[in-house]
Amino acid sequence: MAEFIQHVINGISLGSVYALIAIGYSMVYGILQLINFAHGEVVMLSSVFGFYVAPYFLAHMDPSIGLFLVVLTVAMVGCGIVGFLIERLAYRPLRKAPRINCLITAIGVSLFIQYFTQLDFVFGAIPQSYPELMSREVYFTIAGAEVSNLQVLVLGLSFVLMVALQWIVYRTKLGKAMRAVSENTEVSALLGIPVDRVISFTFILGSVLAAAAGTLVSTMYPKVDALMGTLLGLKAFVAAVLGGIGSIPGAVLGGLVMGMAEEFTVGYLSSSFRDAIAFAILIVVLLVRPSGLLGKSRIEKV
Amino acid sequence: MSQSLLQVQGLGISFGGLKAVQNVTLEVKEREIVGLIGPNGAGKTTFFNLVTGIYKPTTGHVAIVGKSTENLKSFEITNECFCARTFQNIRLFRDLTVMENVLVASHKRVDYGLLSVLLHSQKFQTKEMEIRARARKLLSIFKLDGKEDELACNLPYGDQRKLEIVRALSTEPKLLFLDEPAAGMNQQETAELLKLVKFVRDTFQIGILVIEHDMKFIMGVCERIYVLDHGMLIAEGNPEQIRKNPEVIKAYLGEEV
Amino acid sequence: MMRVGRDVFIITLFTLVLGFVFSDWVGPYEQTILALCGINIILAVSLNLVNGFTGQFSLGHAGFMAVGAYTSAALTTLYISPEYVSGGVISHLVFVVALLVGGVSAGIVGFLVGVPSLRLRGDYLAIVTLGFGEIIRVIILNIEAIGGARGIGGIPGLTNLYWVVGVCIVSTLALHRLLKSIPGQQFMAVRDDETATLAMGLSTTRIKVRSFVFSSFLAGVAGALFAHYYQYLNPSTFTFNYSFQIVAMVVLGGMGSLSGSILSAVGLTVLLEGLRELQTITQLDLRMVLYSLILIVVMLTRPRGLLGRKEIWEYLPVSLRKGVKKSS
Repeated sequence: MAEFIQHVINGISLGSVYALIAIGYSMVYGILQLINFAHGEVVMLSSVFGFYVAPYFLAHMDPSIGLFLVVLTVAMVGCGIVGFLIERLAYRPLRKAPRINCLITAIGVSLFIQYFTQLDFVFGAIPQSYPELMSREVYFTIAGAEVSNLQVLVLGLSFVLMVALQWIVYRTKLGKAMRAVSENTEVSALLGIPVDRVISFTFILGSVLAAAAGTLVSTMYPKVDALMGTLLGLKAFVAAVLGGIGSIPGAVLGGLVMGMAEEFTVGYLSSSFRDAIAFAILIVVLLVRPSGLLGKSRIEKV
Repeated sequence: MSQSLLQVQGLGISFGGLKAVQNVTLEVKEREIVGLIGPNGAGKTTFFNLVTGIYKPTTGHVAIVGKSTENLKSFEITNECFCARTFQNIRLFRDLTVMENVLVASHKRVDYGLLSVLLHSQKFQTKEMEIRARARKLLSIFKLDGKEDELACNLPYGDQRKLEIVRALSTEPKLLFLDEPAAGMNQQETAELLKLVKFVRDTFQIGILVIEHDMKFIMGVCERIYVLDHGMLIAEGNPEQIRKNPEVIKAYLGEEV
Repeated sequence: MMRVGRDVFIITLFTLVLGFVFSDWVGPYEQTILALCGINIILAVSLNLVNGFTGQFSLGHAGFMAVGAYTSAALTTLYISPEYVSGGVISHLVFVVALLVGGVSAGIVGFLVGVPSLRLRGDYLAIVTLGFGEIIRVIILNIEAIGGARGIGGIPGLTNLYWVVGVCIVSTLALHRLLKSIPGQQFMAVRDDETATLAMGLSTTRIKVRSFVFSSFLAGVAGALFAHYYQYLNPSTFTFNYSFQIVAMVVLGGMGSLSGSILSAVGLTVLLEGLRELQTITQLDLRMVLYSLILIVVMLTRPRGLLGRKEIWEYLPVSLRKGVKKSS
C-alpha cells in the first residue's frame, strides 16, 4: 500500500511538470494549429540557464527556496526571450505557408537548438549535474509513503502558476485577445486585435511555464542534458493531446494522467517501457478519441 | 413508366440544433434533368452532401438506382450506385494535368495489377492507351482536348467547371449531380453549357440533378424543378409552374411582397 | 515479354557498368560513402511516395528500415548456415531472398501501422508515425535473440556496390513507372483533394495504405542492404534522427520530385560525410547543426524544395526534353 501511494505521489509531481509543459503546446496549437516541436528544447534550455547561473548566486547564498526562486526567475526571463525569438525568426515568416512547412520548420528548430547546445563551447554533449538549489528532505509521510519538500514545491509552484495563467487568460485584456485569436485569427485581425503581438505573447507565456518545468525537473533529478528536452517535450505533447489539445484544463489533466501512467509503468512493469508508454497512450488516444478527453470535435466543411 | 434513378424519402440532418435540411422528398427519373433551386443557405449543397454520403442523414432514406445508400461510404455510393458529382467550390486535382484528372476518375476500367504496371506488360500498355483514348474523346465533347497537358489549376474558370463535369462523367454514372455548374460563367458560356448538359443527357442517357442560381439556365435546361427554402421543400413543378408559384416568389424576394 | 527482356538488359547493363566503375576505380573510403548514398536514395525516393506524392506526412521511416534490416539480418545470420552466405552464386541467391524478406516484413509492419494511423491528418499523422517508429525501436531493443541493446554482429557482408546500384535503379524505376500509371495518379489525387477523390469512387484509405506499404517495402529493402553492408546493427542507428534525415532529403529535393530526392540524398549524404572531416579540424560536431539550419532556411526561402513537384528534366528547354524522352 505504501508503495502504491508512493507511486501516486511521484506520479502527481512528475505529472504537474508535464502539465506545465503541455500547457505551452496546447496554447500554441490553439492559436497557430502548430505542434511547436521546439517547445521541449525550451525546457532543456531552462536547465542549461540554471546550470550556468546558479554558481554565481551560490557564491553568495546557501541552498534555499530563495535561491531556487532567483534561479527560476532568471531561467524564466531567458526562456521567455528564446520563445519570443523562435516565433519571430522561424514561425512568423511562415504564417501563410502550408501547415506541413511549419511542422518541418518546427522540427528543424528543435534539432538546431538541440545540436547547437551540444557544441562544446555552448554546453557540450556530456550530461552535467545540476547545482543543488535546495537540499532534499522528507517533508512528511502519508501511510508510509514519503513526500519530499521538493515534491511539495513542485505541486505548489505548478498550482500557483496555473492559477496565474487562468487569471491571465480569463481576466485580462490580453487573455481575451488570445482567446479571440485562437477562435478565429482573421476576424480578430479585422477587429483590430494585434494578432502578431498576441502570438508573441502566447509563445512567451508558454516558454515561461516551460522554464518553470525545466528548473523543477532539474531540481528533482539533478541532471542537465542537451537531449533531455526531446522526450520531456514529446511526453508533454502526448499529455496535451490526451487532455484535448487547445484546452488548458485538458493539458493539466493530461499531464497528471501521463505522470501517473509513467510512474506505474516503471513501478509495476519495467523501466525499459518508460518512454514507450507515452507513445502507446498517444496512439490509443488519437485512434479512439482524437479530440482528447476535454477537447471538442469539429465538423469539416465541404 | 420510366424507372426512378434517385428516390429521396423524408431526408433531414441537423447540425447541433440547426435543422439544415428537413423532410425532403424528391425523385429523379431516367433521362430526366431536374433542378434544385432556392435562396442562399437554403440547404442545397448540404442536400447533395447527404445524398452522396459525405454527411450521414439524421432522418430519412435515399435510394439511387434502386439501391439504398444506407451503410455505404461515400466512395461506395459513387461506385455501387453509379452516381457522380461536381462541386460548387471547384475541387479539381489542382496539380494534375487535365488528362490526369480524367484518368484518375476512370479507375473502374483499370483491370491490371501492380506487377503489370511495374513490368509495363502488353496488357497494361493496351489498356492504358484505351483509357486515354476514351478520356480524350470525353474531353473533346467539352472542347478541352487541346488542353490535355495543362495543369488543372491553370485553366480558366469556365474550363475548370467543364473539367469537373468531364471528370464526373468518366466514372460512368447513371445519375449526375451538378452543383452550380454555371457559377462564374458569362452569358455566352452559360448558353453553351446549357446545350452541353442536354447533349450529355442525350448521349449518355443519364439523369441529372442540378443546383444553379442562374434562372435562365435552370428554366432552359430542366424538365422539373424543386425549390428548397430553410431546408424544406416549398414547391415542385415544371419551369412554368415554378415561375408563377407565389411561395417561390416570396422565398426569393422576402416577406414584404 | 520482349519488353521485360529489354528492361532487364538495360538495368543489368547500367548496374554492371556503374558497379564496376564504383568498385574498381574508386577508393575504399569513397566506396562507403557511395554505398550510403545509394541506400539513402532508396529511402528518400520511397519516403517521397508517402510524403510528397500522397501528401501524407510520415516521420517513422527509419522504423521500417529497421524492420527490414533486422529480419533480413536475422535470416542470414541466425537461420542460414554460414556456408551458404560466404560467397559465390548461392550466397547471392540467398541475398535476393533476404532482400525480399526484409522488404516484405517491413511492408507488413507498414500495413499494420498504416491502417489505423492513416485516418489521421497532417501533423497528427506525423506524430503518430514518429511514435510507431520509436515503438518499433523499443521492441527491437527488448528482443534478446537479435542482440537487444548490444546490437547484432557477424552479419555476412553480402552487399556490394553492384547490389546497391542495382536495387537503387530498380526501385527508382519501379516508383517512376508506378507514378506515371493511372493507378499511380490516384496517389496525387489524394494529395490534391481527398473529398474529390472520394467523390470519384476511390477509397482514399486504401490508396494511402497502398502508398504506405509500398514505401515501407522499399525502406525494408534499403534496411537489408544496410545490414549486409555494415555487417553490424544497433537499435540506436534507427532513431528519430535518421527518420528526420530522410525527411530532410525529401523536403530539400522537393516533395513530389523523384529526381529531387535523388539529388538531395546524394548531396546531403556527401555533405554529412564531408562535415565529418571538418569535425576533426574544428573539434565540433557541426553536422546536425548545419543539417537543421539548411532545412529551416529551405523552408523559409524555398518552401517547395529545390525542384518542387517537377522532375529535373522538366526544367530543361522543350527542345532538349524531346530528346531525353526519346532516349528513355
